[in-house]
Amino acid sequence: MNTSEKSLTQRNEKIQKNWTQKGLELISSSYLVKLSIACLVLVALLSFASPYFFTLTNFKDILLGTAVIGIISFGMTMVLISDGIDLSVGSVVAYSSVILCVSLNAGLGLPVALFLTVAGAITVGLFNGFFVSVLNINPFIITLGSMSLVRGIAYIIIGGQPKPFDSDIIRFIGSGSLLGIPIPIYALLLVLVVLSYVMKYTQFGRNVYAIGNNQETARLSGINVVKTRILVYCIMGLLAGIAGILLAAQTYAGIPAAGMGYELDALTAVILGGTCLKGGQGRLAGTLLGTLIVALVLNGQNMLGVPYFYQLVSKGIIIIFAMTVAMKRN
Amino acid sequence: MNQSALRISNIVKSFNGIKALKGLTLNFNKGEIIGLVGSNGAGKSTLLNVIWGAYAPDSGELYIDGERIEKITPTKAQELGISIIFQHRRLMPYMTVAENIFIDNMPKKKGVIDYKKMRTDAKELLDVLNLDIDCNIKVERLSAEEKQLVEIVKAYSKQPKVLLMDEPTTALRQGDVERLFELMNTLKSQGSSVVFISHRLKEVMEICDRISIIRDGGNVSEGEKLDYSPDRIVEEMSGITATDFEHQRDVTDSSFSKASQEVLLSASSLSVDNCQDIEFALHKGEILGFAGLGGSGVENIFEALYGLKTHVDGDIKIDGVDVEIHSPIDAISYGLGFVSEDRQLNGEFLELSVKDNICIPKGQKKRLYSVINRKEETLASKGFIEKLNIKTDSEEQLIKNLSGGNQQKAIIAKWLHLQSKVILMCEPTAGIDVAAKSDVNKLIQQIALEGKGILYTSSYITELMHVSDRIIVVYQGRIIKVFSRAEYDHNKIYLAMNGINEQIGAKHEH
Repeated sequence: MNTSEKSLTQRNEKIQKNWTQKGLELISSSYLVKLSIACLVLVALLSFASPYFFTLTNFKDILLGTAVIGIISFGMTMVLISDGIDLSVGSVVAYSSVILCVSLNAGLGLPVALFLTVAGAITVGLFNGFFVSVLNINPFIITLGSMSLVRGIAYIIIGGQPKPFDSDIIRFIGSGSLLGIPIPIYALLLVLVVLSYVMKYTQFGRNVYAIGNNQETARLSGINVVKTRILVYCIMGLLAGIAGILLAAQTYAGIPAAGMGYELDALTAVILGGTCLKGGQGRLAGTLLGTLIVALVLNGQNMLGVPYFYQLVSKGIIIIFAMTVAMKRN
Repeated sequence: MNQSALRISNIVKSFNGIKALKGLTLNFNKGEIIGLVGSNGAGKSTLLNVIWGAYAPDSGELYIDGERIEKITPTKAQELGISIIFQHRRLMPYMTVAENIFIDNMPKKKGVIDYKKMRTDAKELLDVLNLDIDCNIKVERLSAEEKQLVEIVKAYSKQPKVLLMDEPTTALRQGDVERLFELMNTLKSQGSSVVFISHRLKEVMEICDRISIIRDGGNVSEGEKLDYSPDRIVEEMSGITATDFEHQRDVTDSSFSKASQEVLLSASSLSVDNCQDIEFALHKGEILGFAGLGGSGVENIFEALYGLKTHVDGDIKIDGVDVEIHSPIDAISYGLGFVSEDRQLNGEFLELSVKDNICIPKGQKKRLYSVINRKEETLASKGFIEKLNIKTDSEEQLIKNLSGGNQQKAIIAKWLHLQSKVILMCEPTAGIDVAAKSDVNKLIQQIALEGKGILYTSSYITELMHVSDRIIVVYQGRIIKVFSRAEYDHNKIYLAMNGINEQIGAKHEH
């Protein structure tokens, strides 16, 4: 009797130990869990530090502020998973806002203007994709080139200076709300859900992972590598175009200087979110968390009145931290 | 002249308890060219790595110039005048030819690199060897032959006391082989010891003074070249004598599949790269083995069939219909599958699950936007895991966490899932352990029994004989002989791979 009791308590201890162990393992094994915890800790700290932080309005502001960069970051996640990179996204944001503005001011209807904008953005993606996948040129180089090229075209189209435009519907997209939630947040969530679904459940999504994992194996397995990679850059272009439309809708203007440095902001969020620079690995949920962490840090600093120069320093620290963690994890 | 330049005695080296070298003793004299011969797995590369100081031997001694060297490192080996040309090239692709030649011995002037001297020295060396290579271009732009030649020049430039070369002629053309031989003779006359490791018996017989034969990590024999004939070398390498003939055939083997007369795939007057007039027919249920030394062109034939080569001439028929194969996508659409020689390089998606690895090729039949049928894929991969006895805890496990043999089975499973009619298998058992090898080979025979056609290569003749129903021997890009199972003879196959063929020999007499 005594012995069996003893063994029972031993077993209970063992089970308890297993639970704590499992919990610890989960935390240490899943990067996403760690990121979520970091996010929560950040929210808690900032709530203590500033009375204005933990309010619905502020959270809405944070999400609203991440809509444009978030959409780009989701696309960038897909591009990195395919073992590519797209540095032209910031320029495409400006270029699409310019196309939208100019077409509306030229008296074209909104549907036509939106169509032209989206088509223009996809064309840039097609251009990048052609060089990257058909001519097999390093995506870093090509998109570095198109970054400058597209920015230049944006300036040429609009004539150097930002120009305002007016459209009720666009205005509503930029600053309207539905059920108390701003429209750009719907756009952000819609892109997240659709792209996550595409990446996880479709042949295309799995091919992107496969190509990023091992392009040669992909080719020998019968994957149409060229077509898939072109498509990746086209979707990236489309998403940058949507981000550009949102930005134009928030500012009621076509701004050729908009979106400067967005490519690096997106990369920061994506890498912080655990996507591997070598390709083949990464998840949009991680990118969402990465984007939120960056936004929380910046927002918190605004709340606390930290000067802009110091914010730049902290952003740099986040990038270096994210990179170091990413490298060490491999 | 008969002074020892390099001597090793009783070297033992084991990996995970398996002895790769079992007390090997070798002596290389100054002013001599020694042919070191052994079949695959005899321990040649382990030996080179021990001499080079990359592996520490478990026991045994190493003497250079009669002096015992306690612990050798790559730097020390180089200082002592040992130069090795490894089978896998070790040049820096983005540096120039001259820089590569002098990479570890840059000429200096006032403490900085003297590029002018480096270039003139490099040019001089290339001229001595009569090589038409520009020493200012980057190595990545050279052809495979030229790279091998640069490697040779680099080793030569150090004026080594001992030069060890592992299969240096595999990538070379005939004219270049002759130049290499001239260079070896020059080194020999300067008193160096030159060790020529090769499968090419004709070359060994032509250039070497002495021959050392090793087998299974131990010595077999050693002596003057004149005492050896190709037949003797092959017998001693394989350990199979002509009288053992019965022993090596296993016609009665129950796994011997009976190929039908139905032709699945045929090639006629196929030419690609160095290969010409390739002609064969693969029957349903047949395992057709291809044998050839490195550089013979067997891999070119396989790659051409799978659409990986750009310039292919000749006719390929699948199920009796002429086909043009320009890409793997074409090949797959005609019912071909491909198991590559290097799994990790281009055979599998290491970071993806077993299920994804099995199901991705079949998924390509669907449209890009179509949704993956997860239930169906799980069911299918579970089926293959059970049927092929793939050891994994679940189909969702990443393939990299499986053992080599099980990874290879999963790779084969993807072609079964796609219902390929013909599977091209390049060295499907490379890099997996002995037990797993036999497992994979059994699986391949099983697949053939179920009516697939298999093209199969292996650098191990015994394995090739065990698995294949016929063996086609390719020598210098041509089919030199076809062995039916009844004619199987390890040593004859090896001789044929060396271009030594009884019938052809007889023809040439007249």
